[in-house]
Amino acid sequence: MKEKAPQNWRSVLRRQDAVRWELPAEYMDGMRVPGLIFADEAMIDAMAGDMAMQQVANMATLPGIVGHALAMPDIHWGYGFPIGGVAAMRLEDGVVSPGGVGFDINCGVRLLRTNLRERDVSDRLPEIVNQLFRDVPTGLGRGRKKKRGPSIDVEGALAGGAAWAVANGHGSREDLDAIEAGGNLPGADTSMVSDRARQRGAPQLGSLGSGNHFLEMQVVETIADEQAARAFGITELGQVMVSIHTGSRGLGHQVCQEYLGVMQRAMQEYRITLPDKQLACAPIRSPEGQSYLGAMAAAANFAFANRQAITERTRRALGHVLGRSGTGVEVGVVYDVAHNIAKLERHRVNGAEQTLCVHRKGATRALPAGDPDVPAKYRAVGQPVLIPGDMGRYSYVLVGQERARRETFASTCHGAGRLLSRGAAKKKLAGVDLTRALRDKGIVVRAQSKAGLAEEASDAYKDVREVVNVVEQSGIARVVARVRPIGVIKG
Amino acid sequence: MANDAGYAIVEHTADVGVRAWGPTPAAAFAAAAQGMYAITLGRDPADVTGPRVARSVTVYGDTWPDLLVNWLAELLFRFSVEGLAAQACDIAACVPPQCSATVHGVILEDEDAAEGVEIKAVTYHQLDVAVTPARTTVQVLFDI
Repeated sequence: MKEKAPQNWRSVLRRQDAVRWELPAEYMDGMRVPGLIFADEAMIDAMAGDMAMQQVANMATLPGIVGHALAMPDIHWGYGFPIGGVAAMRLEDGVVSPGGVGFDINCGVRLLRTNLRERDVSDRLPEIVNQLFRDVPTGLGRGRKKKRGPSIDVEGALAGGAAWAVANGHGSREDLDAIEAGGNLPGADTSMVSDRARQRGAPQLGSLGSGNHFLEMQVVETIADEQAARAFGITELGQVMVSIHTGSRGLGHQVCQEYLGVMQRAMQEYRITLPDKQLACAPIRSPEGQSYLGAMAAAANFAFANRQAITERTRRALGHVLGRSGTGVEVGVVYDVAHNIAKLERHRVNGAEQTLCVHRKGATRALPAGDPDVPAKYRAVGQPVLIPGDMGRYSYVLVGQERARRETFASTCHGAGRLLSRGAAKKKLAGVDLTRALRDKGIVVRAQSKAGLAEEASDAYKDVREVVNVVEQSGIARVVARVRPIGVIKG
Repeated sequence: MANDAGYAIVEHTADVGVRAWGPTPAAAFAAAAQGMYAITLGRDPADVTGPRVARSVTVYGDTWPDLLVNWLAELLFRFSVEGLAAQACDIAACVPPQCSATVHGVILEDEDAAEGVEIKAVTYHQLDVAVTPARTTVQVLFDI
């Protein structure tokens, strides 16, 4: 990618309304479609000098792209695609790009609801968080060795996803009713996942990892849409929820790493030239494209199985501490969404419905009410959309809207986005006792690394409320509830 | 200073990288590996203790950038599955299409001893390998 000088993007973009900005296809040679950016004025101004917008233009050069190259309001720089980027390709002449999915295949969020209220847990919060920290492995590497279970059937997890996990004692069948794609992405080809990827992933099933991944106990702070909240099992203020943010761990990372090499060679073979090496891709219908899609779907299933296994560990940890052996503590799945994925989906383009390969990188599917892919129990209101903020403030539950299906291939944002580099965050917070500062706000935190905690502090992130405001204003998703953290475990 | 080898951590908003240098490509590649381990271990790899091992590592790549990515990706893989933390890399051959080395280091038995950040993968973004007869410099960013 040509690293261009910082620019005032307002001089390039065509404003459509308060939160929609078009990046014209004439902006750069090779753009096949225009870009469409969802952002408010302040966000556009803050992108001066940021290469994320340039990456939207780069995305628009990919063969077979239809509609717009889309950017959600949490857009920030990523490898190849920006984080917050969405692109849909025709199957017949389009490409699939690992850079449009990301290294952490099916990184996503799962929200659990409980029958607990804040008053039930507030006195024992440190105990509960400690138990979660003991039971759910966190931190970098292989998953902590001392917590490793017997060797797992990786093949089963790759093929069966969350359903495999449930069949092997990690949760109940009901959990599967509230997961994107039922927690088992079609098209998984386990033979395309290398032994090396399996070796990296096998010990890590049921672990969070490090970086921005977390498990958070939360309480419902506001309810904006009573009907949708009730449908999602969010019944009253003060209800305790649990949010899990993690993905396919080393298995997915290895799959992406290996396929970047495969795609570099495929680009030469199919004579595809692109402005950024990290956009490396292959035609969807080519052997390389099919092989990647098969491996990616299998890795996505591993991620669904991972979040399912963590769900069951959470359930048991809560039951253990609260002394009811799990029988009195009810934990159900509200929903589980991927935000790093490529999926074959049906969408309407220029009046005709067709199957497209939709890349969502740091973006969440947001189906409206009535869509057959929304679980039956939510179909009257729409698909839950889970948007985590940072560990010191709040996160949101949204619901998909019809306009998302028309404009964004049923996609919306995925989170807040970083404000400071990890080093800058550590420097800014040097000498600050973050654990204590969070405790003073009523949040109990356990982390493997103090440095890691500083890197993930509120100061390092944008305010997710601003992102959600833009999404709501644009009409692609609507706020259902806001939750605030009371307990956090991190790597 | 032209004969010195070393590395510096490169800050990036969401991620982190390494700039490394040395009198030869082999020295710069070895220094880049040390930088990668420093990021993931949270300290100089020389300070990590554990059973000492030596491992042969051979990777391939048709270009300098491919060779560097594949070299670091291989070490990352070994760290992930075996806990191998390299303290010294004796690189016998380092020119496309091949890099061959004996890696001396320790096996990190206590996984909690890694106090840095988890590196997911080695990327091609802003990847740079500049080779001259007297000096090689490389830059690589990691997805974390």
